[in-house]
Amino acid sequence: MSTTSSTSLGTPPVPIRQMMARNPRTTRAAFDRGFAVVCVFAAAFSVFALAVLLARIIWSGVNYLSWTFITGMAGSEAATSGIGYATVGTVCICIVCALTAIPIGIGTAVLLEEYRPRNEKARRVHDFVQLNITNLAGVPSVVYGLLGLTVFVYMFNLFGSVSNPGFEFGATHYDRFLTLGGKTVLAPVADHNSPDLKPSEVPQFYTDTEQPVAVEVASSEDLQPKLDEIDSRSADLTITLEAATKSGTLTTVDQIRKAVDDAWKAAGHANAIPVESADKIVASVKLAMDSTGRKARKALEAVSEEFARVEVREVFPNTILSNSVPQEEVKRAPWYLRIPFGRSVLTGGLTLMLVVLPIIIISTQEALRSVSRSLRQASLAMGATQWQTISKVTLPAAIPGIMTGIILAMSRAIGEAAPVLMVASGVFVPYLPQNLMDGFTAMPLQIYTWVGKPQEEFRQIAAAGIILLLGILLCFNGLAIYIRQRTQRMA
Amino acid sequence: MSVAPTDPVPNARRRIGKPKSTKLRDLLEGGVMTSLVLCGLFSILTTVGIVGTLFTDTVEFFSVKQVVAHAEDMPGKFESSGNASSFVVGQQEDGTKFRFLTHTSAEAAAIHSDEMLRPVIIIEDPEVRLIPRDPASKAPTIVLPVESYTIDRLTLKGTPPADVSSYRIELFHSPARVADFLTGGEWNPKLGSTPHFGIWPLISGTLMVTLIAMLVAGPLGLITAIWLAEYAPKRVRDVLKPVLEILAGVPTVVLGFFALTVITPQLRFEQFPMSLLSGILGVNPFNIGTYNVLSAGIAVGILTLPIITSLTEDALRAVPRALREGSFGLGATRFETSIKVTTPAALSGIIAAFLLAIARCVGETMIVALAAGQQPIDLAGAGASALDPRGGMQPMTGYLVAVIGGDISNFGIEYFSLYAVAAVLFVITFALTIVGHIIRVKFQQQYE
Repeated sequence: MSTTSSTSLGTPPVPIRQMMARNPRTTRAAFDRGFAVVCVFAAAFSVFALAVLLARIIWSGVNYLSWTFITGMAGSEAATSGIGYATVGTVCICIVCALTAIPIGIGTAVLLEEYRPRNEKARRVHDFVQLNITNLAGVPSVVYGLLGLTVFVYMFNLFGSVSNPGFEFGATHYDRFLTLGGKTVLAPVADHNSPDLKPSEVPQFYTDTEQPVAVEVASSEDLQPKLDEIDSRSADLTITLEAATKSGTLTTVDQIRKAVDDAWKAAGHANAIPVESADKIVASVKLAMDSTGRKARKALEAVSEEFARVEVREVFPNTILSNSVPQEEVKRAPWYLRIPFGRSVLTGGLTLMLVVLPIIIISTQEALRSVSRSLRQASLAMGATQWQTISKVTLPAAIPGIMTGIILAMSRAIGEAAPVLMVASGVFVPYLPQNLMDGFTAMPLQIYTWVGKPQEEFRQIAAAGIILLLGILLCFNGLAIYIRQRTQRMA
Repeated sequence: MSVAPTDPVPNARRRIGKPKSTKLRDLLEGGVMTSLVLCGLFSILTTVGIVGTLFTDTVEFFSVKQVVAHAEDMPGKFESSGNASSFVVGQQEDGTKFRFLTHTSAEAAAIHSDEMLRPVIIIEDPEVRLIPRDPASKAPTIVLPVESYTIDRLTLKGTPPADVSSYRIELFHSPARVADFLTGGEWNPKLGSTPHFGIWPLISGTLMVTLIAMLVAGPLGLITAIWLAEYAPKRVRDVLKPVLEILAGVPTVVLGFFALTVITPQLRFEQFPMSLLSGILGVNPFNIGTYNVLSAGIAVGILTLPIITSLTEDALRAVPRALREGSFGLGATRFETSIKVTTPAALSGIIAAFLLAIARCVGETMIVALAAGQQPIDLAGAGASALDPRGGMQPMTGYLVAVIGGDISNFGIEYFSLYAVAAVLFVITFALTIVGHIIRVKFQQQYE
């Protein structure tokens, strides 16, 4: 029926149109329905991809999630490795990133949206800044990493190196000496480039906790008689013990311990012998009793060495040999700063700041743009200044949008690996950052290293790390979606 | 009119605030303005920083020189005549002689196999450097540029010092040249062998990944966006949009893991009886390497899918309702409306979305670093057959990560090569962003 009606209308003799016209309802409707089916499949692909991704990660990683993994440090063994230190590193660099990127980002957005200049020249500059931000948003993050490498890590090689920085703040340099008693004492040094101090030149030594400590400096010739005495005494003890064990007068552990204690007292020490040393000596004597030949002789040598060592500690607790060579030690305050920044937490945070800044600017601009014009005009009409209008009216009204943008930007910062890889201090960092200038590693970096390893176990702990990372990101994204939907409902 | 006229201004002032505070307020206003302008300047400064760093270090890349031979393995003597001098290569103990050559490695290879002229030095822009043998001596290092050279003689500009025997001689040249960099088909920065710095193997890696990613994400993203904008019921949209957002928020290193451990094994169809297929075809078409561009490209496609979808959907939604209703009113189906009316109307936005997605693919780093392989292809040697998506190809970003991961110092040719590659990357993404911006601004149809 429809065929006849459309041919009678005299449609142009284009083949497709003829075909469609001959069968307009069924063919065109079929196309429509078919396309809808194709659409559903296409849309299902993204859901499918996400589902497979999550399933695979959870399936291979969930067994490795444990408290030791979450808090631990990366190591050479998959079973004992953890992602805790990398998590702390990520938190540190993200805090630095947030503290720098949020004020600058909101400031730029306010400038671009609220302070539109009226004259032609200024407007051109304004448009240039806007275009520049569009462009910065498209720059690959790895390029920002290279920028961070030149500008923050090396600072164009203008200010010396990390080991010999051009500027330092909050660091105290020491020469560290070891006393005969096994304690370390520190001597402050004015300049870290000065040559090593001689112990006799040091006016005052300090302990690790900065307490002044009296230290005696002696040459090895001065000490020799006393050391000889100690040596002979420990040799005597060994001979006595050996004889006693052979003759069978010493058999039990308690008896041996008593003999050692007696020898210690006989040497004229007021304190008792340290327990761990006594234990060591007793164990060695026991070993000598139970074995023969070289092994027994070695065990007895160990007895004499340990006794001499503990006596030297007791007699010369605060004595330094006059020819001892110090090691350099730097104590860094929590507010330690230096230029250049080196591969540090501050560098990582600032590099991430460069990456997320365009995201924050663009989303804040959108949030400000959505604030109704009449609100601003009402405020200005009440006599408020431009800044009063912005700080009291526009920004509060735009806060949900700004917050969403910031949260999304921070979740980008958490997951970003390439720029951090460029400026991070290697992947194995066996310490937690104590100040802004300490090295760090981050979660995505740790995961990258683990995935890159050929062993299957490392891929599995990488999956466990990914579960943790995705968990954090899902929380962030969920928060952003929640804030947006709530404001949409309110609007 | 008995009442004296009062000044209206003090009254108004009293209402707004004390007049004393206006000065303070102006000061605050000015301070805020200044700090905001500083914020704006910061973004300009970032761009200047990127361009400046990439440019200066790329220049450094093309001017840094590398030692190609020491006097120890290159016996010879200096001959002086007037202002000029020359370095003549002598024979080595086994009778072989050094040869200075220029130009192509193919030429070098021909002479290589010719006779017993084993040691061949390919020199471009050479210089001879004389370094005092005694490091404690105050004698300076002397650099003598080479004016011309034949196969066994370097004619130098300037004369070496009289006691030339107390110097160590190094012949060095810049391995990177601008022309080779822009046209060369071999990328081999390793020390030891003759380094080649031709960018095309890295660019073709990047283009290959981008092509595969766009083949995956382009149609899927476009269709999904049309569906979301024209067909999908609100309930489905409320589910699909967050899914896409979560997919967009997945860190790229996670997608790299996905490419390596899921996509690559699946592409091999290991469950399928491959021997049957190879029996029929003679070859196994799914002979896919552990590191391959195909799976990396698919993963990058999954990454860009949400970007294309959301930007295209925004563009489609910006098309006014009246256009659609007009089309429906003329009897068109939804399919015809979306293909013939809304999509053409939103074309500028869609093209801009695609360009942005391509820029994102080009700059994508962690997925390709993990899954696309660590070896740049050899376009010069293997030709077009190297462009096999089943094998590994190192893209530009992959090279950056591979070099930085290998603990390099902050000087030397490898370090500077990072900046040259990053400069190419930056130029490509910059061009894509700007073109996308122009298309969006200039060709956007206004329906008011």
